Amino acid sequence: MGKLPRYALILFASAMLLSSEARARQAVSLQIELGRGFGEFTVVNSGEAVALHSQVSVERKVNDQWESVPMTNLSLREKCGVGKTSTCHKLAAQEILHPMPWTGNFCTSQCPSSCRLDGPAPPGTYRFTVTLCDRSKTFTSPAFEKRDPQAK
Amino acid sequence: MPGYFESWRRIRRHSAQGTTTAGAGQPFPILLTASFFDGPSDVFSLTRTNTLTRAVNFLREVQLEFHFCTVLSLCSPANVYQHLKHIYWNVHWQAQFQPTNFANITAPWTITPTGGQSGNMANVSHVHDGGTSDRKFSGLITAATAPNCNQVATNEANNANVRESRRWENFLVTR
Repeated sequence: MGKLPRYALILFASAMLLSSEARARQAVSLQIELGRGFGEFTVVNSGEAVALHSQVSVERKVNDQWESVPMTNLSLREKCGVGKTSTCHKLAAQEILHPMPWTGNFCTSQCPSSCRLDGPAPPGTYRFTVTLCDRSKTFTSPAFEKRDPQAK
Repeated sequence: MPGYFESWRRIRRHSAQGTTTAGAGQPFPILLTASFFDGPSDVFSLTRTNTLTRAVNFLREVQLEFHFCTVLSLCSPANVYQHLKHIYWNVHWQAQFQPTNFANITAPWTITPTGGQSGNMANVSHVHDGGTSDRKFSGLITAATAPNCNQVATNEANNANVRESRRWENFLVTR
């Protein structure tokens, strides 16, 4: 019985590792699409099943830089009143998720919540971001405008 | 499906929202304006299953007291804070609740404010110079790792101190 040289084993292991990483990269194909109304968005999984972090973040464009907005209670939930959301949200292959829209507020951001500091985020350019549950990859929505409700 | 009541009385605008940003290289003195807005609220389930009796219990009374200190501060690029002004303010809510239709909790409820004059009110202090010396706030307001008030509120809601009884009982909630 012949022996495989050590370098051949190393090459084989490296190739396996690279191909599994490449598969993982290819498998995640996720888009955040905006709806017609303010704050509406959908998460479209056009790849294989994926685990997303349930928290949805909001960023605001300030001086051409995207800055994180201190948001509370914005998550991938599709309805209100279902109690605590789990840390991760599994999305099946080809599944489309329709989270509750962002209200535009800092704390009552989707549903009635326990809030000590709350109010409307200022007008400006915003976008949503969602990450994989292990935070290894971030997905962003197209930018959208939040207008001053008093402006005509 | 559980129903929710938002706080039945909210504090509306304390002030308009908006800030002024100093431009790079702008000569001093620079006139800046800042304003403060807050609309605190809370939510409670209208019904809850009593684990001792297995019966559905209905929300009967809520008493809330939120006490705040709001500080206007400058923060240098080196992350050093200079507290300029502060105010104390609070809101109290207290009311009793009664379903008009126990079989349909989404129908309007009868809400009766209780607690006398101090049960439902809002107060704002004078504006004080500098930072607060109250230890409840002074050690926290610039602590990078301290949870913000909404995280504290969420933790409260998720880890409520639940007491149950087999018969109707009034609990002293301050203990």
